[in-house]
Amino acid sequence: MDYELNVVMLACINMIAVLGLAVFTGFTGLFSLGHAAFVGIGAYTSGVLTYHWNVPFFFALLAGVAAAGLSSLIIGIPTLRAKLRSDYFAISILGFGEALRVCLENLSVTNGARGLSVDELSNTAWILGTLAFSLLVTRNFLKSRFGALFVAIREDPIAAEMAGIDLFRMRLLSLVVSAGLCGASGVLLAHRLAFIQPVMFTLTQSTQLLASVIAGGIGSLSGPVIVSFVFTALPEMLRWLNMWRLPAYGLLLVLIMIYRPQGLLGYRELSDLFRRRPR
Amino acid sequence: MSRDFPLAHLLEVRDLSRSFGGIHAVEALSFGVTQGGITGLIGPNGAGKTTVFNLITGVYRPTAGTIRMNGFDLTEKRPHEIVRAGVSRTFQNIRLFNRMTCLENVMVPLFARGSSALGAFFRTPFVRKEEKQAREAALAVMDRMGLVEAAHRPASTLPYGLQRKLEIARALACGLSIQGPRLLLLDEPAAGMNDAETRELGEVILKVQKDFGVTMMLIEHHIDLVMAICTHVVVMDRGSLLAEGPPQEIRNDERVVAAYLGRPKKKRI
Ligand SMILES: Nc1ncnc2c1ncn2[C@@H]1O[C@H](COP(=O)(O)OP(=O)(O)OP(=O)(O)O)[C@@H](O)[C@H]1O
Ligand SMILES: [Mg+2]
Repeated sequence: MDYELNVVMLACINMIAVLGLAVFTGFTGLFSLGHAAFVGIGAYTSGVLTYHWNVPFFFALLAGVAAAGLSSLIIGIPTLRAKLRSDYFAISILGFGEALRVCLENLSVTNGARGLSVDELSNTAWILGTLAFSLLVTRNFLKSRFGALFVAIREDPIAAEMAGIDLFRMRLLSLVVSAGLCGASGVLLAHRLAFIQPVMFTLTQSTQLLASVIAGGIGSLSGPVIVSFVFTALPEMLRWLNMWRLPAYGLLLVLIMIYRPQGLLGYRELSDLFRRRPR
Repeated sequence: MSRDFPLAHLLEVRDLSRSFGGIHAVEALSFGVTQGGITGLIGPNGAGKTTVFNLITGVYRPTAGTIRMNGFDLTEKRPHEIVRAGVSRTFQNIRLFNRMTCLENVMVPLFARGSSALGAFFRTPFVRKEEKQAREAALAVMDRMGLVEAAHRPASTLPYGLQRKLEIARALACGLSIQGPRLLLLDEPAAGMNDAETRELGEVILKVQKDFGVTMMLIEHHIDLVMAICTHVVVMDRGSLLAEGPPQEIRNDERVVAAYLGRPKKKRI
């Protein structure tokens, strides 16, 4: 039971990060190969605070979210201002992620590449509470005028600008919000595993986040969230496959892309399936 | 607000140039747009008409020259700032937010400014009120354009003629929150339409001008439409000004006739 619960909790933690990337990629239309960096910043900021200074977990959580959000400005301001094409943006944020890893590996406060052992503070209540709060706030946000502006930017950036949208500010806002959610995920992850290492926040993890968003469906929140749950839980459930575990995971991804190229719930939400929209 | 040109000119373009590599798409072009009228911008294919719109709206930066609107220098401004100065436009190749409904398309410009993200996270009553107001304002514009029936359809499912109208409605919505005069730029709104549809569009344009009090610039290859509704016509050829004047004068201008007839296989003119 303990083992299953742990897998479910890790899947829930991952869902928060995927939720963040869905805002940025699924709704605003920019690809990122570096969002694991924001998970890492959340993890390390909070980890350092609780480890060195015994900061209460709630404040460490807030600090992790804030640090991830603020750090996204460092990469977001120069690249988004330059209106880089989406693929170039994905690459520059990848560079940001790798630079972060090098920093984490060489700082003494993070205990370098050996990693940091922190207390196991994120219990089931913290995880489910944060997940529920994140889902609610993100849904509200995307339902508001900002959601409409993000989708307009995704659909046609030039027309969006000519509708009076400040492209740079809105894309930056989307990045900050998505980085903040990734940060929350990182805080919970660090204090669930009770151990963090720089290699946990690299291109591999960024790619997995992006795979969840795309397989779950662009323009959908529920799709990526469901898929991310499956993607986290599945490799654990498939342990009996031994070495074929990861190829099976890859195969699933390929099958989704072949049979549902729009993703599980492209441009729709789970709730739409139960409700007829006036079309 | 400083005004160093006659008040009558809402838009003043001076010595405007833009080149792409070796191509001089627009070269030393100057003209003015009178407030309240409809100014036609015509010229053979590749004359640089769309580039002029792209320069006015900040999609491209000019290589030289200035653009002033109602006394403000727009030359180095970013597109959304230009929209806030009262300029909005449609595109030669329709650019709608295809996956959004028609209503949402018209609401986007109204959403471009508003309350902060914090309120949005918690969906405060103020945020809801703001959304309701935007929805009502957008529906009012759509009503005048005869688009209300289509409000909840995805924009991409509209027939071509209605898509053109929807684009005009969206451009009009950009001006709703703006004090002072507004300029609407229409880039070949009648492209691909037959004579009857073109005539109907002409009526829509005149109605829009009356209802919304916007000044307009119109790029069009349907010369009959231009002659019927424009108060002033600017003719471009190879990036430069060829002629300028009232429609009747332009129709009989030898240089204009030569520019069009001198090249084979032009679009309808
Ligand atoms: N982004 C660009 N890059 C390179 N060349 C361009 C670009 N935009 C326009 N041009 C060139 O500038 C010239 C003028 O183009 P423009 O689209 O302004 O003409 P137009 O008068 O609108 O023609 P049409 O009636 O066919 O729409 C053309 O030679 C075109 O190839
Ligand atoms: Mg053109």
